[in-house]
Amino acid sequence: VHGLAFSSDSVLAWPLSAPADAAQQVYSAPEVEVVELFEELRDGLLRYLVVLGLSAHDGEEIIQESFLLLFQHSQRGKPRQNLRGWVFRVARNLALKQRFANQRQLRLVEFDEALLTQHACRNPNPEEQLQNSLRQKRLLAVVRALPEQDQSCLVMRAEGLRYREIAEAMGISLGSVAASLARSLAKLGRADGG
Amino acid sequence: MRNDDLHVADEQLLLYASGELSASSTAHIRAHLERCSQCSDRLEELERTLAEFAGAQVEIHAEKLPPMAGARAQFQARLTELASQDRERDHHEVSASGSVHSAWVALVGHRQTAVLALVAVAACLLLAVRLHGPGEQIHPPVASLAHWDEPDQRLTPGATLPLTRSQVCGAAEAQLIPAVPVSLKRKVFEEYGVTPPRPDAYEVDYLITPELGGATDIRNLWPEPYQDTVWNAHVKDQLEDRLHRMVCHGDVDLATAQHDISADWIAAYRKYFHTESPLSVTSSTDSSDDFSESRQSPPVT
Repeated sequence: VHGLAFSSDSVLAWPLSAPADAAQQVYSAPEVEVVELFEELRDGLLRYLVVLGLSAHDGEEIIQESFLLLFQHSQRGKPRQNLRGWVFRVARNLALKQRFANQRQLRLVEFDEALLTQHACRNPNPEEQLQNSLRQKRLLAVVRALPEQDQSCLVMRAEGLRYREIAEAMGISLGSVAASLARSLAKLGRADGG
Repeated sequence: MRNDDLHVADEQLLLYASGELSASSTAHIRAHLERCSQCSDRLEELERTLAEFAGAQVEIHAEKLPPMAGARAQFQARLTELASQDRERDHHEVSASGSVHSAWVALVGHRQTAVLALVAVAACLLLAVRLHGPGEQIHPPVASLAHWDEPDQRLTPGATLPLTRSQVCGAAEAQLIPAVPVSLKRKVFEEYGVTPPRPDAYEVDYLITPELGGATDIRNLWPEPYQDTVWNAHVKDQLEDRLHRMVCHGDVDLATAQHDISADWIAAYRKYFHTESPLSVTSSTDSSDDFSESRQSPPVT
């Protein structure tokens, strides 16, 4: 291939000691790409999986598994469009399976209560914090009461996924995504105002 | 038929705001919003509610999220392990298929027949392993045993992207040929056991060039000598140019070109240039648009 000569810079970068230790680990281009996407999506995915009822630990495991599957998906030369939607779809499927197996709904409620308490204790302005905390509590109560599909669409949208990415993740049409979001936002709006 | 006096449903407002509607629907709703404060207020309210929920999500979970650094490190370790398992499996599959005959496989065969040459071969192998330390070495370095005018098929069977002929032929050359990251080049050299200062004598070349849909993947890269052999990197460039043009002219289909160049690029060169020896590199690259001329050039001796 033209223009792929090994430059003098590259030669200088060559490790002079044989074989590379763990700290000098190098990665192939597909590995780098998957790690970059992992960094971009991991926090949002974890928040989503926690809303679905998983513990942070279980959520973390599912995310890692999802991205390893993504790597294998890309290695097999599968389509590369809409990878964000693909990752959310795989993570959601794994999460629902896990949730069904563990029946963690009760733990979710306890988790949310504990978070709100922790947060209230840290705030320097107790009055403002109380208001924030109450509003967040109302929002969470509404989200918890939503059907899983509406929860998922709402959280994915809040995490910045585009409508077509959500549609891919959920296996539904763009119109169904919009209708789901409209329902959820109407309920959230009423709760926030109440 | 549309009634412009009807208010816009919430889902239509959301689709409009996200840019998912057709141009005509977008124009219609935009016009409606300009004269209907009720609908524009509603859209604002929907977006505010979503933004508030998004903020609450982040705030509520902020403390509970384990740090990114630990998660990333754990993921990278698992990914590295998976990638090496995949490569190992691929190599085994290729070797087991019997379609590949590398120097190493041939040497193992000799060892099994216990011919006298075994002594010399084993000495070479022991020396090579020793030079590269006591760590586990799945593929013994073959630097001292072979000159890779052709790649070791166990290490470099070729890998492609799912591109069509029109995608391959439509893009400019600069877009098609990504630079190989230094870290990946280093890994290729390690895989082939090339040690300093030798790397400057090689081009880390794509077996299947990106101009034919080849992937920037370690399985599609090998250290190709620039000068030390008749069948060198410059000669292979001629073949890449020729095959790319033939594919784009419809003379060869893309899959055939990918197969031929990855199976045995020297045989492919002979096949597509109708010659037993490489043509003059200089005249070929100078007249890269005219293959009838380069075909008549004297062979390199």
